[in-house]
Amino acid sequence: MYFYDDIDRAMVKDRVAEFRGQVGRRISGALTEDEFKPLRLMNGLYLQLHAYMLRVAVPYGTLNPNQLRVLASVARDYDKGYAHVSTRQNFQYNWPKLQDVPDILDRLADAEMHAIQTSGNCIRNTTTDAFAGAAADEVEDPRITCEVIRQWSTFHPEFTFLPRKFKIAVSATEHDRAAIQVHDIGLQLVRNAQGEPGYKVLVGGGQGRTPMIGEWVRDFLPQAELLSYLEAILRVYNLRGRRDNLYKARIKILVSEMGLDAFRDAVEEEFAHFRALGPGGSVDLPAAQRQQIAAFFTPPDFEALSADSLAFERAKADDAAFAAWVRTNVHAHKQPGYASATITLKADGIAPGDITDVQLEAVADIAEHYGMSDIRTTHEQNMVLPHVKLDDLYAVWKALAEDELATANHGLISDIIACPGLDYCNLANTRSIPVANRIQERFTNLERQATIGELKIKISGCINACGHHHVGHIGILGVDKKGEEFYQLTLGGSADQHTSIGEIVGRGLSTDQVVDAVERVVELYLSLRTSEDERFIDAYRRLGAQPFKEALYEQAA
Amino acid sequence: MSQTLQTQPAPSAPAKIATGGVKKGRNEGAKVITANHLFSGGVVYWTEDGSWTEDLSEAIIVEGDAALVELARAKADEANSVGPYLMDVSEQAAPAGRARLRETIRHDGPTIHPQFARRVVGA
Repeated sequence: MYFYDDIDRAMVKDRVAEFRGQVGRRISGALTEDEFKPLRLMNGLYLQLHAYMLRVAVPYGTLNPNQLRVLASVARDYDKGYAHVSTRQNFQYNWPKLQDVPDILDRLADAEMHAIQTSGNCIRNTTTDAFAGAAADEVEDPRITCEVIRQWSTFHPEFTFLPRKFKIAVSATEHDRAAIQVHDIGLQLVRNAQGEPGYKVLVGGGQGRTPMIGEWVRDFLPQAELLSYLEAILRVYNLRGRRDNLYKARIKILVSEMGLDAFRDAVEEEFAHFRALGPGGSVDLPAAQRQQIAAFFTPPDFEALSADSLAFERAKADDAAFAAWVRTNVHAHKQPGYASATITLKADGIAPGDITDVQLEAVADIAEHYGMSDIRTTHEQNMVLPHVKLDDLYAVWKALAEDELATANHGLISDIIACPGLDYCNLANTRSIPVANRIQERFTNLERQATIGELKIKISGCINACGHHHVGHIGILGVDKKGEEFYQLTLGGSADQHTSIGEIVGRGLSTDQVVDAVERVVELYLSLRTSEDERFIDAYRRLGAQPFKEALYEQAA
Repeated sequence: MSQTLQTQPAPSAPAKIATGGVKKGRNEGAKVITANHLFSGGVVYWTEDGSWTEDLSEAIIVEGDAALVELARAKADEANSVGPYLMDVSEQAAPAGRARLRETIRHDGPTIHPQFARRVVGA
């Protein structure tokens, strides 16, 4: 993983000192709230319903055990014993006090963490595949690209006050696990006919109140020209994006209003300016510097192991619960004798993405002992141990189980993305987490979940869509109707390489109706699927909305 | 007990007001001024003596122009609070109106994690 150099260290420490001064001036009255608010937001500090919320950046979701232990200590000392994994692979704390935040940031800085680019109209944390460096089919580790973008975008003077926030995601595999098609910019690492690495480039995807799938603007961008091209896109957006209407300020609206061809032409014109500057004159990274960054992501020292593990096979045969967890939560690895394991933060009754201080420390210990000290957060609010020996998986599972982290539900109906909703969020109209918990409770039987197979439910408490409901196989959007909570269901969304926006299938359902309605949709799917291999999303695409719509509203009068 | 300020007749065209989050409303009916405390971020309510309390029952209830006057006073107290606004309350000073659920959750704490329920000192 990337480690700070002296410049990084000094920059982050200076930023903490600067914010400490700003907090002091707010408390002394030298700064008004109107003056202070943009400053605190630039440091990841929001004010929510009950308290401040601090969002900590986890660049492309990569952490080491020391960082997890520091995150645990913050949860224990400044929160109520919890931290929360967000859908941008970041961490959030729901209860810090204003005067404590500089001390929290200082503690994070000592562990090479910060809260920069977690709020405000800047380029946010670049996200990627949680299996980066472990997936067999990746062109190269996508975190190299993410780190290049991070270094380019952090404190970029031209892009600190964009029309709106800006999100970039990178996938290095054909199988998209980073939801790149619903990002402002999506980058897919590919090779051209000559075998050279480069990018397919998407622009203008996004969720929120106007969900859009990004459009391909480049089939192949040479790797060396990445930053020039990104700078060209951002410059066009910065100059032409709308600033008169908050709800029309994202780049997706600009692309839509300009038209794809006109937008692409404008980007290419800017890009040509950079190209004319030639090597050394543009913003592109010199090859030697890219290699320096890439060196941080060289694969760990994998042992030469057999692809088969007798101990692993024996444990699966002897322990059905372990075998069930392997089926859902363990993933193939590029290195023989290794696997990746997902730790779902979706146990029954727990807020999706919540993890306690004790659990964080447990994951740190397990990663240190068995996981090559590498931990990832995922945009689905889970964690991943990317490199575990098959020989060690049973011990890992038992250790996770001791701290209630071994739920065998990855990708299943209880592995729900949910925003904080009205339990915490200042913008929410309705609660999300209790709905997620009630669905988890209804489908608590893991065997039943396994029978249903892959089914992604995503819940948002308002139209801002932080719970990604637009791309849920079943999406649930909370809406306020005269002060009462109602839930609008969408069906058929997905966020992989076949991204689709879910269809609204009818009127909103009351709190009492929504779980029953989900269950009827699931039961109908089970009755209509052609085989156990036909996933919910496949059946929906084959059958269309109508039969599901009928099931949804049956008895829900 | 809640303290009710002598109310003024409501203006003929009630002013548009912020009612928390992104919600907007009109200045009609009984209101309490609420905000978040500057240091803790916790939920507080404005009292007749011009200070903040965590206890809703100690809040001053205001209506009409008097509500706007009190809100202006509360907003001037930037040393202790962030983002004061008018919330609807019932005659019993309980959260009411369209934002009832939001204000109930602000008052009581998250409906998940019951162990985090808001404990008001002295209540």
